Amino acid sequence: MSADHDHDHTPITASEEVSEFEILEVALRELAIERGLFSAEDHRRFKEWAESREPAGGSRLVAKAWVDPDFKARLLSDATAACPEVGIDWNQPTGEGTPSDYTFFHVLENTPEVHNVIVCTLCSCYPRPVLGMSPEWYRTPNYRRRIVRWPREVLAEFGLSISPETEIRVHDSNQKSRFMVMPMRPEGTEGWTEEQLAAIVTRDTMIGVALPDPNWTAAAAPSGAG
Amino acid sequence: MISAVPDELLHRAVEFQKQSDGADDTPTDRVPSAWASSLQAMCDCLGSNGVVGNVQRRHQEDELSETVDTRLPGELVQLVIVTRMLLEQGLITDQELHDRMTIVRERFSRDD
Amino acid sequence: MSSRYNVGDRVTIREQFSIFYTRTQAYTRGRMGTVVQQFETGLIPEDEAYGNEDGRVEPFYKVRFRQADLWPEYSFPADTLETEFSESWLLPAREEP
Repeated sequence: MSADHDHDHTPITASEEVSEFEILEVALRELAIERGLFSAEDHRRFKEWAESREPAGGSRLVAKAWVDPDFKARLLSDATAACPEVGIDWNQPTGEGTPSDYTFFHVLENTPEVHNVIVCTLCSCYPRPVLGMSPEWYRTPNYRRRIVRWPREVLAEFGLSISPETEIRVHDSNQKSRFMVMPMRPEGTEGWTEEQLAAIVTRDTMIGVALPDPNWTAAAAPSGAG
Repeated sequence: MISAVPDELLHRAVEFQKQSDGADDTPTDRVPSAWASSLQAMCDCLGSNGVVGNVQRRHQEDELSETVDTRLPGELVQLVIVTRMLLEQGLITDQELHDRMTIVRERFSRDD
Repeated sequence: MSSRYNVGDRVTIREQFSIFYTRTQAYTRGRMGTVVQQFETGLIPEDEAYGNEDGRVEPFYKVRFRQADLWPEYSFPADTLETEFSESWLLPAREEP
């Protein structure tokens, strides 16, 4: 970007707009650090931690629960305590979790009778330590308002149709508890390794807007994409 | 008084977004901007230290999203709001932001 | 800390008007549900949000509602919604006669 760019009158381009916001983020952060609002080291730690969180953590929890009934029992009884068994620590990065994730984690088991789905109508809280950053659609008022009011319509928009006899149970995480869905293990996965099972437990299946499919992994791209 | 820097950028982003608004209105899974994680970490720090509360910030983000008649990327809204909240608390001034952005802009565009 | 409600209790969410910060959603006010879980006690959000470290500490409960009891003309009787409340937002439910 040239130094003599006139930022008041030049036409807007995508790259320029992104660049201006990036500059604002840097400027704001530098000023905030200089004012002592937080330290550069704390910022770096939060950023590194957030960037390293990914749905693979949650997938490992589910896959392990599918193959190990004792682990499943531990996970359902005290999910925060069970997480370190797959290398996830809800106390990071501060020792007491983050200001939006806390440490009260619960796993919701899907059964033939109950299909769970998560939301935070208040502010889009999300189980970041096990799922990473929330998808943009999860944070929209469109999702947050409608999933509590019209869950079946919203799930249908995601391509998921649940039979009328099955209880759809929406969990609105309005306090400090954080939730994740444990989908049911699909047919056609007999004898699979934990790694193979984890690959089909995608982020959307742990939010509750999709079901795991033995023919579809988190790494797959739809045909025609890319 | 609401300050100029975040609002000017917001206005320009809205204008840009409207130009490229398509017919498809469903929320898609866009890739966040490269600075989104840095911004989220800043919000975590500010929330952790009690400077900018998470829920209050999210309320303002929702209100802002509702007042613009186009869909803006989430991190853009978040950045505008957290900037406004720090300005409103008097922790930084608009002039300081302008000046610092000039410095950062020059630093980023400097040729080696 | 002793808790007032047990799992299985029917409760009603208070209708109280709150001009201050609260996490109790409007769509639950005045509605009746069932306690399904008790969580850790902690600072109620109304006090914690204002940095009141010596604020009120209460038990928290997860309450399950029938969607048909939350929304008009909700046509799937099996569906439910669960969310959490601090104790002072709950009253023992008075069943309809």
